[in-house]
Amino acid sequence: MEITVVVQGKTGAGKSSTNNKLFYLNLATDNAIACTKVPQIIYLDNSHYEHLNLPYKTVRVIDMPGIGEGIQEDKTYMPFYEEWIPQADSLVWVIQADTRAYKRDEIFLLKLAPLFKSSLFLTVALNKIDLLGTDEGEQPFDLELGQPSVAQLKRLPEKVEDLYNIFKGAIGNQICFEKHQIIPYTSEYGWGLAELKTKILTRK
Amino acid sequence: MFNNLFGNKKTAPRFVIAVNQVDKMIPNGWDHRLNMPTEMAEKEIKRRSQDIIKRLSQYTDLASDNIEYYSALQRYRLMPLLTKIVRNGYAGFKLDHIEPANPFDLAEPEVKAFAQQQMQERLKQQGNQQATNKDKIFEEMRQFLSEEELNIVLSKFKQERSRPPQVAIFGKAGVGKTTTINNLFNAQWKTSHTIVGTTKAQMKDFELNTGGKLKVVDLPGYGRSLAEDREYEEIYRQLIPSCDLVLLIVQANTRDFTDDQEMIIHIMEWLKEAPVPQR
Repeated sequence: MEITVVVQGKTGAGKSSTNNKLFYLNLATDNAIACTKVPQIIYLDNSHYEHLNLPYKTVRVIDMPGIGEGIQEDKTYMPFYEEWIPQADSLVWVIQADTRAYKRDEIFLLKLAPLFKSSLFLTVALNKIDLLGTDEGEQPFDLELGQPSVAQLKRLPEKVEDLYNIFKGAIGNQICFEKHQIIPYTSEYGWGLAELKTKILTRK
Repeated sequence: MFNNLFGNKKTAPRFVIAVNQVDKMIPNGWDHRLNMPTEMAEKEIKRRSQDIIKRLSQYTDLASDNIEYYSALQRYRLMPLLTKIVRNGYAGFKLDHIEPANPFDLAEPEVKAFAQQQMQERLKQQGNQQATNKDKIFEEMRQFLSEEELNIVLSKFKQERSRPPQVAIFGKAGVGKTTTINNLFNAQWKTSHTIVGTTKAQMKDFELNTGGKLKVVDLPGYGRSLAEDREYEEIYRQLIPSCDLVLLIVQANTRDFTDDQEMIIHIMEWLKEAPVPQR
């Protein structure tokens, strides 16, 4: 059995960084400018999933160019989305925690949801949890323990609730989507990555 | 002639894009001792700013003169930002007595003391030069204008001066609008605030530390959801043409600009329809 994992989301949210950390890859990333211009197709070796007891022969991961880069770029990349989204068994939608603006995600979900396989499993990957609330003077990420501060963890349920409403509203009843499919993590410091990986590959 | 003196759409586009939160550009990119970015972070900030200018000027006749990067929280580069605001605002001279919050207050004590000492020395050298610049302009005008004409200019100047500058603070939800207002204008929240209609836009009157008043139109952020954007569009359309300046804030550590591009196209249309603030 072959499965296809499509990694999608706004530009700069950390799709390529996340893939690099999850699957020990070396995709190009850049702090300042968008660099994934065409989909990158990666075949995983079975060391990533054999311990999970999954019946997969092949797992391929598609690292997509980001959405929302610009009016023109959104148009340019659309054929890539239309090509790959219908093939996705596991869709990873990467978003970043230190923003409140999710309209562009909503717009693309509305456009792409009709292309979903009915068996698609969606994971909302809530990246950059280390930056959650820090612009509002919250206690920052605990670098020593490598985990979010107490204040950040307290803020999290509210964030998840907000995201759930936005995403659920856009997807409708096309596929099943529950709150536990929103996974907070940080690709920079590693917290939450293991859970994200399990979710994406086991698809439950 | 008066249009030229007091700003028309050619001399003052009334629009500045401010790239905030450059202190979050890269992990560990902020030098807390000096309260400025590390050398590596600064390089990335500059690259990002270039990219932002390129992206945001695609759909309008924006120039790099309309864009500035800064960090409101760290008070970094507030002065260059203010300069652009004064230069691009309608009757920008009304903003000439603002002093942004001092970045060295956030640096370590010895750095702060050194900066203070340098500043005082420089002030001593400069003397009162700045205070007389405006009078000089009027003196020069006297050579070209009749007494009557000059009086019209002066009365128009006084009239505009007596009206507090009205600045719209705008941007995607969560980009740091409030922090920017407080630190950029070194302003204190004044108790009176009026809710405009049944909307969420607020007019806030600020008492400036340096004296004088400032009217800030705090617009609800866009890009949060489709429903909210639809709801707010009418507010934007009503309020933006009445402002001396629109300050559009974007967040340095995000790089999705479709929302901002779409909004800039709208703003430019609204401002073009009202080349002089409609109040």
